[in-house]
Order: sequence, then structure tokens, then C-alpha cells
Amino acid sequence: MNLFINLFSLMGPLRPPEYLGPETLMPLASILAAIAGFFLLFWRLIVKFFKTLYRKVRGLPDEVPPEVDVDDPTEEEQNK
Amino acid sequence: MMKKVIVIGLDGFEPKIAEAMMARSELPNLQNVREQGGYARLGTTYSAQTPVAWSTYSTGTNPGGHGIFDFLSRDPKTYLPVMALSRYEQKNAFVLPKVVNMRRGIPFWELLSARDVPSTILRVPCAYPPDPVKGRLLSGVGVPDLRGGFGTPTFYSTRKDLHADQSEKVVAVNVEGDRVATQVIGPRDPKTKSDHKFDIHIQIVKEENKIVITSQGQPDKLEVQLGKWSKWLKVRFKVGMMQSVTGIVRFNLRQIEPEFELYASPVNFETEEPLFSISHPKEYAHELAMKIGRYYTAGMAEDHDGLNLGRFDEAAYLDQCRIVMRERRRMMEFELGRFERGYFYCLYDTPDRLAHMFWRFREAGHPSNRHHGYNAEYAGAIEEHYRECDAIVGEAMKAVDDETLFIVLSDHGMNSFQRGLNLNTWLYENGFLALKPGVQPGESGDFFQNVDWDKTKAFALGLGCIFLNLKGREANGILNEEEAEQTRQGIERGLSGLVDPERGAVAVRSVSRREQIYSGPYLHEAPDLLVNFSEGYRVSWDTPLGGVPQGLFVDNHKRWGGDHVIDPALVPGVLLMNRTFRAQSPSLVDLAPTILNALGVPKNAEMEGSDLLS
Repeated sequence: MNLFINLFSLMGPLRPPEYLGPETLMPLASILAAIAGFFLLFWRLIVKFFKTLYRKVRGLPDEVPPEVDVDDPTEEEQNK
Repeated sequence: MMKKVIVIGLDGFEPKIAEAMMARSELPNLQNVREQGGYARLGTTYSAQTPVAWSTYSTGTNPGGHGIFDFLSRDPKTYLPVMALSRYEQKNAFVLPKVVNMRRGIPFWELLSARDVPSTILRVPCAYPPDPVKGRLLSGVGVPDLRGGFGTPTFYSTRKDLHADQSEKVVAVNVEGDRVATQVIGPRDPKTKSDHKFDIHIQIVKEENKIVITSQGQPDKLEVQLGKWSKWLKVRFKVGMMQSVTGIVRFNLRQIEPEFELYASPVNFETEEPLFSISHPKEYAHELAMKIGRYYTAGMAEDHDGLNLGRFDEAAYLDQCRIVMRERRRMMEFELGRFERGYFYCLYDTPDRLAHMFWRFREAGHPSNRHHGYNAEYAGAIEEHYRECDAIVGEAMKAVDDETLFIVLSDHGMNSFQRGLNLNTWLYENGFLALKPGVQPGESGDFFQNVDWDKTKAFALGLGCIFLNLKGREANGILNEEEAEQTRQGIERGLSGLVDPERGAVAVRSVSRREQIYSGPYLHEAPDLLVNFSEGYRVSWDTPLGGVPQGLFVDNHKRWGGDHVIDPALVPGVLLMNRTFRAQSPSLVDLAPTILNALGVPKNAEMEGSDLLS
């Protein structure tokens, strides 16, 4: 019970303000803009991070193109 | 109407060689296509160059309809040569730079897409950035390396007396014990003008004639055998805070001792995160790599500069050509395996690149052989390569059925390049180009240094293009309409039939005015005059970038001993189809209407040619 009371008291500053105006919305707008900016800047890294994480968790091999031998005698044979 | 059209492009495949080989039954698959349908020499474009010709193939218009006249064009504000195939645009600092394709007009695959006919297009020139298409498209010639040019290789050497040519980087290295610490050179920082670099550590294993390159790249350890090409190394260049650019590079180990010498190919775009998109859809390039392995993505895959500069030898170049052909063949086989209907195209550039570098061995007296030696072993290298092309055609034919139109074609042929004409020097000697007071030809470097624009009437750049210094068009233009006409006439009279005094042969057959050979919305961008050279001649190596050297004619001493930028009538391509076609004067402009009609799609009003099958 004490825990809930303490948590509720911490939320005090986040409770909806009684007055809504530009100066009260500014912090919220800044936070949203920062989040959007972060995703825009690092979207590819984020996607890559989660893809890598997914592959690691599932135990899948790294997603790299197959290695091809520079000298491929089978094709030389095909041409003959 | 056909269900499928399959086109195999063989860049620079020379009809005279092909005809002789077919007559000797050395190209059985091409002969087979010929017997099923027909064969003809194919009219090419003014000028006979890969980007110009394939753009005409794509759009069905002469170059005046698509705006590609040469690899190079000029900026009328500065007179400097600029890349003609694409350009980078950044409207302001807040917008990312983008690539703009300078090939205009409508490629016929856009008409197919509008009618819901799918296409698979592999390595088509002048489609960078890639054209939107229903299906898949991988860009070819026009895709730069990571430094933004046609390809800048790097040569690592312990020799201290080496100087870098304009088109390469030379890195002096020290061997400490059995180790060399050096860097792969990546893109240039546009702000600081310095190069971004990627660290590599080389361990020399003398007893096994190899080196092991250790790096943060992929793979982290890469073996390179003496005289061999390595597998791809994926490298990453940090270009800013949390920003990096990836590329792929191959190495060729030339020597371990007494001097250490290592060649690194130009850094190609990597398919997973290319700097700019090289395929449509964007992910397609990587999807293909995941199926067939990494491949050359730069438009100019074969490192002819490396051979031209003597950084490696003919044997290494042939090896590289085989690697490129295998990559391309794997691409083709994979895509043909899942191709069911619509348009399929795959271009093999190597016949052109190989013939440029091995033509000199067909002519023991070629001036290049006096400098680089003649090796009779290579006299048949082009024929041997043509047999490889024939085998590829045979492989592609496995996908042909009764409802397939099968086409094999080349954009132009190939010829000898023994002598070069210093076109700007000719203009100078004949009063059309002026140098600043006190400066003589030979004292003026590239890029028209020391040209007096206030007295210059005409100048040459690119491969045989002449521009007039017109008032209101060029920055320091001096010619009005009447004077321009006089200048045109003067140049035509002087150059047509020009004789090379050393050989007593006619070097220039004729000069074409742009209005005679081009029409369409981009006519105004064309060079004013085009020089049509005779067999064995071309503009000199100093001309394309605006040099004014001493003397009119020079021997071609470079290993690049064959060329095709001569009178287009002398270098037609080949055309083979598995259906009977109009064999009288077919031309590149006829291909787009033929393919469209075969797939039941009408051509557009801009297309100049006609259906070869009707």
C-alpha cells in the first residue's frame, strides 16, 4: 500500500495541468520531437539492432551473402 | 504476341570477328539463333559509345531524344568537363543529396510497366538512379565507385619512386618484419577534401606466397594468394558521428619481394547499405547478393585502369574478366530460373572491356606493343572470350520456348586504335582556339588551363565532340550566329579528309553537324560538331579532358589498343533473333518498338524506329 502511495506522489508533476497553453505543452512537444528525431536519425541502426537480436535469439546464422570461390572450375567445365 | 522477350546484350561484340567465327562454326549457339531467325549488322549511334548507344536502345530515340551524347559533357559556365551520365544535387543543407539520371526520354520498360508487363533488367547502362519498373532492375554503367567516379583503384607499394596517375591512388607502405599496416582509401570528405580511410593489417606469409589481411571488415581475415584476386572484403568508413558508409573491395597481390606490391580495386557500393540506391526495388540488389554472392556493383566492373597503368598484367586482367563474367552469369541464371513472362535483359560488358585491352595483340605492329611488349599468346584472346559468350547464349537459350522472342545484340563493334589526333591542338593551329599570350601547346595542362576564352572560337572535349564558343551560351562566348556558321564551315572543311602525314592515311572521314545527326528535345545540349574518325584513329588521350599538347598526331602507347569511337558506319553492332526479321539496315532505335510490339504494347510517339518483325 505504501508503495502505491509513494508512486502516486511521484506522479504529481505529470498529472494533467489545469491550464493548457503553449508554455505547458512545450516540454511535451520537445520530448516527442526528440523521440521522433532519434528514430529518424538512427532508424536503420535500430532496425538492424533488432534484426541482429532476433537472429541471435533464434540461433540463426548472420545474414551475409554466400561466399563464392574466385576460381570456380565447375563453370570452366560448363563452357568447354 | 510473345509471352517472353529475352535479350542478351554483349557490349562491343564485333561483327567482323563474330561472322568469321560463325563461318568456322566456332560459335554454335549464336549460329543456332541465326539459323532459327536471322543475323544482321546493327546500326549504332553518333557517337558509338556504350552510354549513348544503350540509351538509344532503351528509349527508341536518337541521342537528341535522351540527352546522352558522350561519357563527358561540358559546363558552359566554366568550360570544364563534367560527367554526362548522372549528377548529384543538394538543394540546401537540410536536404539529403540525390542523384539525377541525365538520360532523359522514356525507357520502354516504363511503357511495359504501365501495361502491367513485368521486366527483369540486369546491369542496364544509364539507369542510375534506377528507373521505377514493374519487376526488378539493377543499374549498370553509370553507377560510380564509392569516391563518385568511374573507379579509383589504390596501389600499395614499398617503392618510393612511384607516382600516382590522375585515375588512381598510390600508397607508400613499409614492411616491418612480416607486417604492413595501411588503409583502404574510401570516399572523399566534401568539406575537408581529405579521404576517409579504413585500417587494414597485412601479414606476409612468404613460404606460402600469400598475405593475410586482418581488419574490422567482413571477413575479418582475408587471404590473398600471389598473382590472384581475393574474395570481396566488406569495409566500413566512418564519415561522421554515428554515420558510416560501406563498400566492397578486392585485392590482387602482385609481389611480395624484393618489393611489396598490392593492388586494391575501386571500392564498390555494398548492396545491403549502398550510398545511393542501385536497384529497383531498393532491396533487390541485396536480395540478389544473398542468392548469388557479392558482385561488382560499379558500372565499370573490369579494372582497365589498373592494367593501363601497368599495376597488374594481362593475365590478372583476364582472370578478373572471368570473375566478372561468372558473377553476371550467376545473376542471369538465377533470374532466368524464375522468369515466367515479360521482358528479360542481361548485359555482359566484358566483351567490350576485354577487346579494348587485348586488341593490340591482334596487330603485331601496334604502337602499344613497342612499349609494353607483344605476346602472341594473347592474339586469340578476344576469340576465346567470344566462345565464352557463346556458351552463355547457349545457357540463356534453355529458357526459350515457342512463345519467346530471343535477341542477342551488341551496341557497337570494335576497331583498332593506333594513332590519336590532338583535336584541341588542331583547333589551335587552325586559328579556332587561342592560348594566353606566351603559352604554347604542350605548356597548357588539362581542363583548358591557359586557354584564352576571349579569343577562342571552338574547343574539343570528350571523345570527338567540338563545341563552339557561342555568345549567350558559353560564359565567355564570342561568336554570333554568322560567325558561328563560318567557324562550323571552317572546321568541317579543315578536318574532313585530314591526312596523317606520318602514315599518309586519312584520319578523319567526315565531320557531322548536330542538326544532321540529332533531333529532339535535347538537341541544344549536343556538341555542335562530331568528328568521325577512320579505322585506327581516335582523339588522343589528352583531348577528352581539354588538353592542348604539342603536335597533331601521336602514337597510342597505352595498353588500351582497341576502340570504337570512330565513324559509326565502321563499327556497327551485331543483331541475332530467333525469329525472321527485317535484316535491311536494322538500327538500335528499332529494338524498343520490336520488343514492345512482341509483348503487345504499342510504342510511344517519340520512338523513331519500327518493328523489325513486321
